[in-house]
Amino acid sequence: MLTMREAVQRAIRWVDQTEDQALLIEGSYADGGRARRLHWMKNTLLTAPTEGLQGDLLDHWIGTGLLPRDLFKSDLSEEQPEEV
Amino acid sequence: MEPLDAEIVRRLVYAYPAFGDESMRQILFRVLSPEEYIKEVYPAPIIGDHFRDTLAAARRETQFNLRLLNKILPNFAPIYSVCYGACAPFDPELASRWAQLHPTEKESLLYNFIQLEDSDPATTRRNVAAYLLHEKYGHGFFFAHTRLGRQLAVLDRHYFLRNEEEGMLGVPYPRSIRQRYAEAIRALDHSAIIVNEGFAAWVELNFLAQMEGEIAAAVHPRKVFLVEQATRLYSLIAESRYFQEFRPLFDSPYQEGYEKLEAIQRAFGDSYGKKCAIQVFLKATDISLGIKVGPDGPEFSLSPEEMLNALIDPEQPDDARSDRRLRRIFNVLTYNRDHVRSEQRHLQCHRSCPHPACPVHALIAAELGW
Repeated sequence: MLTMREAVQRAIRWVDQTEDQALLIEGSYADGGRARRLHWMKNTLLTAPTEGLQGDLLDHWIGTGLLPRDLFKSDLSEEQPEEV
Repeated sequence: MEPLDAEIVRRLVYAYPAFGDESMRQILFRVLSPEEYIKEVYPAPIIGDHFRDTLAAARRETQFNLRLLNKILPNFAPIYSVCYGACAPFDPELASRWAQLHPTEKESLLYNFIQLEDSDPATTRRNVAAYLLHEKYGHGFFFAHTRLGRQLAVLDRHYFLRNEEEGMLGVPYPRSIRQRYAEAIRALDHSAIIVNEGFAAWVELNFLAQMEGEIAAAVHPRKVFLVEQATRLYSLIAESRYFQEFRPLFDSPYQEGYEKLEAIQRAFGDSYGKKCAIQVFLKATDISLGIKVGPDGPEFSLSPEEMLNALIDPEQPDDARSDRRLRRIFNVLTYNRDHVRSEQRHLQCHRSCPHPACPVHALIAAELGW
């Protein structure tokens, strides 16, 4: 079972990798771009004041398809960013 | 406006027949001059006079004035109330002059006042369609067709919902009752923001997309405006006991509810998605706090303390909190998506909704007891 701290770390690592790929394609944090959205997600997650709120954010992004559900399987040791 | 309304309701009824019933047809949608808008929306004399002064100052102003702008934008905007229906202020001259004085707020002024002097007719049609969907059919449906909304409608109709309307109430009764319940009513009102605004945004953006191309073009800018640019909830935390206890995920009041309903719609596909999203919304708002209308105004079955505790005590279950209910229903449904989809195909849910054995209802009942 993942702790919330580990789950947040996995999400941040995935977002960083995916954001880098998106930036390579988009060239900047352009309005409406995926890179900008990912950057905002990371900031929102890191500034959430409680673990409960971080958990609710992760649930929201998993359910809306922004984060891959498989990322949080506890037996997963290496996460690969999805294709952008 | 009538042909546009008829076109909108034709599409909505396909997703859920109650959008076309008598209670929805009776809801007025009016485009009003700012003076008429004040008369309808701010009937209390002291508040009305205050906004008449604000409007007069706005008409006189010739300089950048952020303080006045921050009074105009939140208080002169499309709005819904069970007392007067859906209203939108309309003043292209005022909006254009203010857009020249405050260029960064041009888009907000356009949305608030429907058109600027140089707007083309398509812009006006797009904005009117957006507000018909959002205010009349989004908020109107919430107050007419959900159990929680109908209780809030009782409070709204009797001037119990907004602090500034307290002066409209008789002394000592019912003003003393309103004062006793003020904190609980405020918590109830705040607990409904995310589902009510999220649903209105979902109705607007989804059904705008189905309209003819000229109107459907509004979807992207309206989505950016509602989901990415709108702010309100974080600033509400300081004065809201409800949001201090249950913090909002995002600053936009539309974002969480809209994105969850949109994701449910996508998860269950073209044939069922919209119908499922509406069923989820109805389940999330299927809350009774025992508020009903009596001969002398609202009647409460719970004491103020019981009502407040049901809403803000974290030790109490989520049964009375519509936004928390939506969150939990969303998690259960997205986690069990494949099971629900296979049941939907088996039951042929597209033929009648809700099916007596609706898999969305069944899963919510089994997992959450609602």
